[in-house]
Amino acid sequence: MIKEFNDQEVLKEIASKNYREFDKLYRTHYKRLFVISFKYTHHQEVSEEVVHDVFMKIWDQSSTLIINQSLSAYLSKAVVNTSLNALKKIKRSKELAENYQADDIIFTDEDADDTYFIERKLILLEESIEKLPPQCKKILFMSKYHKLKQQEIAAQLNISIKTVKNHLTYAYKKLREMGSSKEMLIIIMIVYIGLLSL
Amino acid sequence: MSDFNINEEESFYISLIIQEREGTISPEDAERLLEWRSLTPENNALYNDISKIESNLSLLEKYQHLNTEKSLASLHKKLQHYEAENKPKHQTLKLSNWLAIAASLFLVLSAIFYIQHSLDTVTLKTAAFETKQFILPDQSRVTLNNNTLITYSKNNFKDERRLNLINGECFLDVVHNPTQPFSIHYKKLSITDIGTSFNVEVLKNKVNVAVNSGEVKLSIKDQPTKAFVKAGEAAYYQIEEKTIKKTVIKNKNYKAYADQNIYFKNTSLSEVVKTLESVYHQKIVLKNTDLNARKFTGEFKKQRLNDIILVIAETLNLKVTHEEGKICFK
Repeated sequence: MIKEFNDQEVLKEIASKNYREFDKLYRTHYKRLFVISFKYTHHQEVSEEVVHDVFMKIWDQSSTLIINQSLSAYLSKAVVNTSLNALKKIKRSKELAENYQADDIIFTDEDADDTYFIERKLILLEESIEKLPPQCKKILFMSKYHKLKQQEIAAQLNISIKTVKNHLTYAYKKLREMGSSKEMLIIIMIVYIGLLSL
Repeated sequence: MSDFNINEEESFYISLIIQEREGTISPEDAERLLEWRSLTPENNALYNDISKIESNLSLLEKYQHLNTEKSLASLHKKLQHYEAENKPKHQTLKLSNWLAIAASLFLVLSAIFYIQHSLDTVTLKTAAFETKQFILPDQSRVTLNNNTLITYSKNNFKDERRLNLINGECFLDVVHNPTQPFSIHYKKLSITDIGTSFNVEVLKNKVNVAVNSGEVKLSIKDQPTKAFVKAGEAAYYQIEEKTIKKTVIKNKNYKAYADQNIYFKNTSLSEVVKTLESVYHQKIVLKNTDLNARKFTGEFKKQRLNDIILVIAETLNLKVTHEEGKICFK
């Protein structure tokens, strides 16, 4: 019923101001691109703006855009470049400068792979967290998501700091173990995709 | 050293790394950690891995709280703003003087014509991402689904309540007035109400009319064909064939885009997902094919999509994840 377009057709549709295709493209890539930008800017509003800027450019210039790679790779690269430009601008404005320690950012090939798989990595991490024992998961959430210090967690749960420490250590250890086995999968995927494109 | 000891040592340093990232590490421990890292490449790799997991956890938290629809809506606003500001600039003309004069004369004349025309013609419009409700001069209400365009003549509307549906779908709630019939037209098809609320949807080769209350009359220009459609009934006009076929309303949720009231009664989950997608313009995926046939019963009145998703997940004991802008049931 709904026609699926390939990358070139999507751009063509957007060039003819097809909002539906534009929205679809945005829904598919927004979260991934936001996370990529956030890795550079560490700033919610700036990253949101970066993603918006990239898509505004697509909307405005899709008829003249020439893309030699996949649309997805193009978007990642555009978001990284726009994020770096945003950082430069921010660094110029003094009052914000102290919040940033992004002096030595260089965009490498490794990053390019990273941008492609970052969303997959996060989803795998999410799945790994689900496999942790309940108490362990709870303490990890309190520590990471609610930004509680170990003493504060111990007080809230009425357990010793030592126990909190053990849970956190166990959580990170397990996440590392589960991650490395999944990382292998990702590497296999990269090689596979590489072979396909030969 | 036994295995146990290696694990003990590893745990101890992982705990120090966590403290370092938290900012609660003591200067002595920080020194100790640094020393340990430089001892072997394995230690340093462990340090990097744990740090990476920690920063990915922060990213994951951001990721989970992202609201694609909210972000998209704000992007649309920016785009509208941008287009309104930038359109005139594209038209900068490089013309010789006399041509410029002729052009401006033409502009003035066409502006006068345009103003006269636009003063009379009212346009109701929605873009791809929105539904909007308008109140007509006679207090009748019309809700436009996405990508819909309706026009009417302001001056004539007092005498003849006539709308032209150019494209899309709308739901009409008409104030009854026997001396002034209300009608909506699409190409050769006219739908005349006899005090009612009804839905009109233009598709590729047909126009669907579904009546919620009262009765409407369908007629085709230059054709004797007529049909009366009552509450609960539907009819479709086949544009090519110029025929009208009557039927009953099968999809209870046909006007959900207008009132956000959705009913499911023993509805298969695949149907539920299809309905929600069309009302909220959001992609929803069933990860297991055996979920398709699961049945859901429930009623939602003007609720946010996220709340509806949660209720369905709770009821059918499903898991919800968000992946690449899609909502997934597992």
